[in-house]
Amino acid sequence: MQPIRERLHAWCESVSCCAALLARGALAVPAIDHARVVTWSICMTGLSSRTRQILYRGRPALISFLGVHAAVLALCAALIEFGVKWRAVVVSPWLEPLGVALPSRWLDFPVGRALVLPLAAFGIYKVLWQLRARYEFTPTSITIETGVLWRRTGHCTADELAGVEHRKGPFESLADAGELVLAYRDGRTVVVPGVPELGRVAVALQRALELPTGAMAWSPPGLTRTPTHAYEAAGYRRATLLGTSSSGAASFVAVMVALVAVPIGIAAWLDLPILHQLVDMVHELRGGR
Amino acid sequence: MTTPMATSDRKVLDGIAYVVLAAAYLGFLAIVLGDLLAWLGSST
Repeated sequence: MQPIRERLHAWCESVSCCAALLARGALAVPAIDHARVVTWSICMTGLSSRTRQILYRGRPALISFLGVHAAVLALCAALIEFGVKWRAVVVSPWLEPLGVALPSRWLDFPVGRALVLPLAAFGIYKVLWQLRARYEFTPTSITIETGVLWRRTGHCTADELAGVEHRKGPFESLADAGELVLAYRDGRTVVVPGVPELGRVAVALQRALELPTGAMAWSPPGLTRTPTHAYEAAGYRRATLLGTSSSGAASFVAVMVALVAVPIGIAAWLDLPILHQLVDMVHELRGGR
Repeated sequence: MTTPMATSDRKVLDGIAYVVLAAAYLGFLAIVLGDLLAWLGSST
């Protein structure tokens, strides 16, 4: 019986010849060797699908970020429930003894609830970040794409790494998610948070690096046992895969501005009286009263 | 020994959690914006 590979080649040849004939005859394309091009592209597709093994491709695990969301929501709820007034927090204890007078309207400004606005904007920004982030892990490379408005992509290959660790929180263990700690040969450590299917990803990377598999896989020189922060203890410095950038802060500010601008835009569109009151107040403040 | 959750289960749970989080944040925002607008309306 003919081997599968030869049969596939023969099939490719026949398909590509038909395609070339059709192209030359029907479309009057100049004499390009379509047969060779089509065969090459099919073979390359087959080759890439065989060699490129994806361990995980998709969003980060939400469970790793639930702690942040729980803290932000709890703070928002507390600020709303125990909403304090400007008068009680700032004016009475700080400004009155100094003899500073404020317009009367500001004395009842709900400062506690106003603080919820940036907090909720931060929470929504984090939700959008997690929805937009993409992780891709193969046994030989890691690609991370993040950013809400301005997208950034970080990439590293297994050749650049000296060690791979992973650690999970108590709730993350339920979903096999957690942090992947990458130690680079140049002395950096990078923590990738919220990696789903962490065990499989870490073991595959450790195998690619020919390291013993396990959570504590690699020992820095001079250490016989590897604690979680041993990289830092051995002189490795923390870094991020994407580097530092102001685009995250810019995205957060954009989300916050949108959260304020949208209600004002709706008020303007509907010509609500509250907008006129807002304009009056701005004029009054600019007048110095 | 815990058993890791299946990928499809995780996606469903993540989807539900995203909806709950978004609803919570938008609810808080609605409360706060309403309150601030009420303060603005009462003080002018």
